[in-house]
Amino acid sequence: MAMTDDDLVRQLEAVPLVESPDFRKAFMEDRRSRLSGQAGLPVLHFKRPLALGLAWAAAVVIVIGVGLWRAPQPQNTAATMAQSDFSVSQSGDRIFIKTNVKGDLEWDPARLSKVQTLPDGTVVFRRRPGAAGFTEIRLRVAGGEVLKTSIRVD
Amino acid sequence: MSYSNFSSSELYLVKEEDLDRAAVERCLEGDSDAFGELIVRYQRPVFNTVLHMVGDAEDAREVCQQAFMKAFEHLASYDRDRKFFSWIYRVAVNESINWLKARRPHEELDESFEHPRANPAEEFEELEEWRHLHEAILELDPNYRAVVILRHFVHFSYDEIAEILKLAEKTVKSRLFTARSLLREALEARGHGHD
Repeated sequence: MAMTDDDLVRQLEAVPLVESPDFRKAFMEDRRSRLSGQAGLPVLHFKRPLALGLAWAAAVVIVIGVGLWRAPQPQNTAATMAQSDFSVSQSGDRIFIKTNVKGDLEWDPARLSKVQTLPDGTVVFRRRPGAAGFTEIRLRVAGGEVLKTSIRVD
Repeated sequence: MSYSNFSSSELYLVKEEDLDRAAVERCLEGDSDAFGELIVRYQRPVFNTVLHMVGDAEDAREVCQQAFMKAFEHLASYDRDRKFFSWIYRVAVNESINWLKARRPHEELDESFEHPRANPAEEFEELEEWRHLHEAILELDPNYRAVVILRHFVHFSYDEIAEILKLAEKTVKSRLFTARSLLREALEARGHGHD
């Protein structure tokens, strides 16, 4: 016999809501890691002669830097390096890596396992159980290392 | 959760509107803990909405996480004259639809990847009694799926669904009518009928 609309509605409304993962915890961890990245700079106190010396050194670096900047740039890996970037985010035991250039990622399989590549190119890694300390993820373009980032895995 | 329990949850949402507004204000003043409060308030129904939209608990976890992060990042663009819950649901539904559009037929998985089983949502997926209904819902076009989920799983009214999906109320009713017809056909094809 055909199913009535009331039967269907009854079935639909009997479906239980499942418990949700703790998204607040993941959100707060993400906020903390972003904020600690910005706020972790040490405050240095110098005596006056040292400060003057550093100011001169900085001026020299700026002059040399401007000279190099104005010189013609070779089209090589260094140029790619200047344009390429990692975007790293973490959620629980998942680590999300997004790069803005095409290349090969290298990682330590003892600490991280690759889960999947998302449609936007983000590569998702999962921390191996028991992994501790820091691990590096490298980006290679045309065989040369372009970027690397260090990630805490515990 | 039974239907009567959910009715009290609707009441809960109405009561919480002022708290939502206050939390949004605090958040825009730089207090990100306030957004954590909003997440706690909405994570269960939003996660259930996304779960039924994308059809997989692990995908739902990622989509939901992205939706909350996106909502936080774009909180300044939220129109504070409107209800926060309708905005957060819209973000979650849109994120789910974008995920479904972008999803490749097959994701390449590392051999060592093991699907996590700790989440109760997986247990839900394994319940035989919901399996056919779940499959039939996943066969619906995401636009039809969204109205069924918002109406029958998280129990919004027609005008609330209209606000969430930015549709006319009559469009919501018409989509729901079509969606339920398609669901009935799909379930009958699986041998379900009136006893």
